[in-house]
Amino acid sequence: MSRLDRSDIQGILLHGYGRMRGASFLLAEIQDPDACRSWLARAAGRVTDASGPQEERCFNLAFTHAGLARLGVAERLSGLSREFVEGMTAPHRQRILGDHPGTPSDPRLWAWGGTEERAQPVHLLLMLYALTPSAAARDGERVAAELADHGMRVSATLDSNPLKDGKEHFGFRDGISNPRLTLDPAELASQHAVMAGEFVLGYPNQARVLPQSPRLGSERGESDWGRNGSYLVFRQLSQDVELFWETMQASSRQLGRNATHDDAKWVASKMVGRWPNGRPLTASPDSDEGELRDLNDFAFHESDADGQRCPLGAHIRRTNPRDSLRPGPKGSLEFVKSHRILRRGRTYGSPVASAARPPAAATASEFPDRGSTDERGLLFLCFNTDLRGQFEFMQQTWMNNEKFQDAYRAVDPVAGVHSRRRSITSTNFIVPDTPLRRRVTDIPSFVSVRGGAYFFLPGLAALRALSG
Amino acid sequence: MSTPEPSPHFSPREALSLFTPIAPGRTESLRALLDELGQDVEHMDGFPLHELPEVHFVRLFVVEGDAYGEIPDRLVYSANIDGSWRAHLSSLVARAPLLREIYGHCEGFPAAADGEGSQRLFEWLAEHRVKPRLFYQGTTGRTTAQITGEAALHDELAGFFDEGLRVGRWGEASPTRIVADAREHVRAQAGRLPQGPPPTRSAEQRTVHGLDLARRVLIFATPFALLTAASLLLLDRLLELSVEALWAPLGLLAVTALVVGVTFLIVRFRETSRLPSEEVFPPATRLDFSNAALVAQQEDHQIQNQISLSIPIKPSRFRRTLVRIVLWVGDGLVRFVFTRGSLFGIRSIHFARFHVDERRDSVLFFSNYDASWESYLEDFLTEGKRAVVPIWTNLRWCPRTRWLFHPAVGFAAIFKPYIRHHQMRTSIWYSAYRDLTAANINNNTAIRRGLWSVRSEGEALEWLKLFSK
Repeated sequence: MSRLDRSDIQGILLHGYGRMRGASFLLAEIQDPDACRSWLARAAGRVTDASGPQEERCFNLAFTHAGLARLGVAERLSGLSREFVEGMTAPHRQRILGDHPGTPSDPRLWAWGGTEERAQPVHLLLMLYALTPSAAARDGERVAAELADHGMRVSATLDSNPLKDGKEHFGFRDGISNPRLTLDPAELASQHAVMAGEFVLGYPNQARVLPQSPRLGSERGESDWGRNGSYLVFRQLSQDVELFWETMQASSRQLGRNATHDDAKWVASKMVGRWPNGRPLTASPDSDEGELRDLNDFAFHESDADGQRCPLGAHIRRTNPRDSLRPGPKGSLEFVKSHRILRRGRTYGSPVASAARPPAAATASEFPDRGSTDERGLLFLCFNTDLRGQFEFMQQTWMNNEKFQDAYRAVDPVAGVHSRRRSITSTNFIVPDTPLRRRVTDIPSFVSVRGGAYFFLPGLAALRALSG
Repeated sequence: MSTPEPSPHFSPREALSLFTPIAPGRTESLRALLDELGQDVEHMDGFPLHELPEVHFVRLFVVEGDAYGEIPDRLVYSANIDGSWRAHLSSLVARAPLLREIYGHCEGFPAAADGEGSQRLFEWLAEHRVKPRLFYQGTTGRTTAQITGEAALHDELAGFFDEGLRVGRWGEASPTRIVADAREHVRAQAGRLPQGPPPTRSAEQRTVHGLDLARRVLIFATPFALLTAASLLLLDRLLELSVEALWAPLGLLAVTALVVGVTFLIVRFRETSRLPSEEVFPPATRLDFSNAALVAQQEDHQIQNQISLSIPIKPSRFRRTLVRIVLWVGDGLVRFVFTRGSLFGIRSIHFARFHVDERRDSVLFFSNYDASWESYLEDFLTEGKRAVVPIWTNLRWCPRTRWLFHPAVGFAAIFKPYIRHHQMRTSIWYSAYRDLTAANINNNTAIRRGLWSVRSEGEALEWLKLFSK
């Protein structure tokens, strides 16, 4: 296999549509499968593939397992992943992901995809991208009306609202590090190159085998229905920006500093592992000034093995430990590559600070709309071909693991929760120092889940097979 | 500088396994009883594991028999304990009245319950004891009391450092000064915190350990010695020459090389030849994952997890012999080489054991480990592959291996569902220290050791780093 079959792959899988500032996500229920199928037959022609230059708007779609069942194809499919079939809210999965009952992330409280009895089922996800947020929102309305005419009902529309400078709501540049897909094992020397089969079904993965792909049975035999598709994780993550910066201020005191702007920014950067402008602490531990913004070609082992610059428990060191895990630099890089995800997230909600400028290091007292109950956060989307080995592994074994890197009680300070002990709602964070480390205790959760589901993003031929 | 308390002795720890046949038709009611008890293992009335100080981990579950009723279902009791298994079994008989109700489901259970009956129950249970073929410990030589005591020591010192930093106690103080303060702080709490360095082996224990090593080396070396003697004799006869100095090493070399070479050729031939279709594990696309879902339900309720597996040995005499040899050699290795908390780089195991189930010709594997099932399996497929492949290559449906040591391409993709498929549901699983990883336990012991041994500034700095975790 020398090339990706781009004309059969949906565009969002290979492109982030960075030029499209607007995105609107529609969650729909299929009420009339026949009407839906006939709509799919025509809509398949409008789906953006990954071959050409991006147009003014892009359109992609994905299905939950319940959606495939509604269309009558689930029972003809074999080899779907267990995680996808069971769904994001299976009891065991709630423990893995940290969506514990009785916490703000309790799936019974979710706005969509949750377990509350009267919740509207989620069958279909439509991803609409346009050059501006208002254009995307208009497209969303138009498509919602179209769906209503074809036996479907939109249960939720999530509009993205991009923040300035590519930042997320806590004020940090986001989405800097994504794997680069390759089909050539010789290219794997580069630390960001990962075999395409980790993200696109039908191609060799890091183990040099084809990832498990669902097959569709029919009278004429079986076909590889999953080919050129991928599993899509979608989670609506609500961020409590005020609590975040209040905590950073308080934490700076625990770290022996004075709770000034700069101190709060320093603590937050220690917890993230990058400065707000994207500069990695490992390359630049003391200052965020200089030309290294967004630098991504760095590793931990050589210059920062014990975390004096970027602490071992920092967010970026957990979500992508690079060469810092125990097997040693080479083994670690290889290991990490088989647990990566391809992120396609977008921010939503209005920023806390005015003028669409997130508070890079703002202190709590400066928030103009302090106390507002506005929802804001991240529409987290990512792709992988092995939900358990990639997305869930990263969540459970790296982010939500209080014992990561031999720690005692420290989960990801920015986005983690104790995956196995729901009674513990706060975490510790250790900042190595000489002669003695400093420790922040009782860091609360700033992020809670408002909705989520596992989807399957089929290739274009597979999509046409659904409508046939 | 006062002298620390004299060390208590290094704790010998044992793995107790009891396999008792369940009376026909009683399996479901036994399972129901165990499942209900297992809901809250910290407070099992009538089965107070949490009150038995020698206990580290305990599990109870059912190993199913065969479909023809020739091999009965069996109840497995598996415990990791301090001291001797006899002492543990006695205290269990004395303090766990529910033991009688549980084992009342089993065949041959001695009905009389108390007085003389207790002795009979003890003896009956002891008759069903099976020694594991391989017993690995990731936290060698520590009692449960030592483990929890040293955890308290770590927590106390971590808080002590937090407070000292908060009030600026150490300003520009030297590392040794900080350590001295820590020592003073620990000494002041003599009743609450363990004092002095952690125990080491006594002279007697060292002797026993050494003799065991010698015995194993002797057994291991005997076939080679016999081989040498035989080859020398053969050469002597063949060449009708006197045995000169040169012949001995040459003969040994030639014969050993021949034996090893032929063995490996046979193995290689078997590994590379096409597997009969009934020996190929069902590809994942065909696999029903109900068992995986069932066992996953029991996981991730705490920091540690457990696994109980039963997989048949490949149906050949060669494999049956080889797996026993590998387990025997492995047992020697884990007793004498992998004694510092790392098994081929895997540091997440508290205890693990292998049995050969003679009745079913299968291998049983029980393990208590840290973190997620997924990461445990990954450990075994990357760093720890040498601990896994030589054993598993002898088991049925194992994905392809190379030279009995290496996983072949695609091994992991099959190995994970293969393991899930053979995993057994564990009804009761108890851990005496559910919040501690093996790495925590080992770090805590290092902290305790260093607290009393640190002398130089450099050592003090290194010791203080143990708190950066």
